[in-house]
Amino acid sequence: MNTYNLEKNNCEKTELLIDDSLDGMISLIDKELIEEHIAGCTKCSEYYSATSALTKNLKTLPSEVSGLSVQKKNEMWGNIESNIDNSKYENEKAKRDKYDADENKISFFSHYKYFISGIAAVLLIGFIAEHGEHQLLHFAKD
Amino acid sequence: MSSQAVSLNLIVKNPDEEFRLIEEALDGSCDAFKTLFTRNVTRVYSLCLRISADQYIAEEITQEVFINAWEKLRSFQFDSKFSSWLHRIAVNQFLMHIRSEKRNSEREEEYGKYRLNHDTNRGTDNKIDLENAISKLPSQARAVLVLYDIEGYKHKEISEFMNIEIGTSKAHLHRARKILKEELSK
Repeated sequence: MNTYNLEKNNCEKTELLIDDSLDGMISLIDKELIEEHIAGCTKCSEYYSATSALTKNLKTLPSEVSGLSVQKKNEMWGNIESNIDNSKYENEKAKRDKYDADENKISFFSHYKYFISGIAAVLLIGFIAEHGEHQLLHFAKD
Repeated sequence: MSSQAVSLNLIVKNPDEEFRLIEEALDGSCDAFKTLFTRNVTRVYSLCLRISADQYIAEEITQEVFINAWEKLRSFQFDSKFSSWLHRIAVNQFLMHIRSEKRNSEREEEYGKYRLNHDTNRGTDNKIDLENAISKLPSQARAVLVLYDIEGYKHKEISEFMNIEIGTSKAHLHRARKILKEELSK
């Protein structure tokens, strides 16, 4: 009984290892174990041959099952187009454009900030100087 | 093949060209998205047809894939192929579809179960038998087999697509191959 279970388990395990082996994902040790098992097990040997042939056959199948007719593609596109929400992207685009415009404004000020600050400072000093002079004269008269 | 056809082929395969179209679609260009649809629809439909084994469901899922793609385009990472991204959406749509048992039974009543009816001029009898055998597999096992053995995805990718463990993906593949061999030996 124990021998039977062990043999059955070994075959089941070997089948999974054969899958990995055919997929190129197996260690050398496991590969040797498979070869050893297959040499003395007709069932697993047949499994190896059949699975190997099947995977080779499957790989020959084309990625495109059948060509869709132009009419069917147009029909599909019509259904898709009527379902896609254009306004969503248009709104997003408008938001993005506004954001870009704001970014440009910000970048303009940050680029010329020293120049603008300088002009502002000169104007302020000029104003104070002018206004201050009038104030002093006003106080002097008083 | 003419030089024009060769250059067209190069443009289609050029990811930069595809990424530019995606950028344009992100800016709201429906024309750019239509070009992306035209270039990818046959592959997406083929995948949907193989994993669903039902042409009506395949058409429906294909349309849903592109509607979803338009809505989720902003989440597309420009580090992978657009077709792989569409495949992922297709698998998700298919899984959502098979979860809806009621919907499936209604459709079966309406149209009758579809079996892949391949044009005999398109391939050998062996390939037709193989396609028909694939269409008879259980849905999850079929999806894994199609993605792994035909589309060439790895178990890690399939586990991410289908939100399952890598071990589960391997188990589905093992089961699918076993059933397929039995079906083909009949």
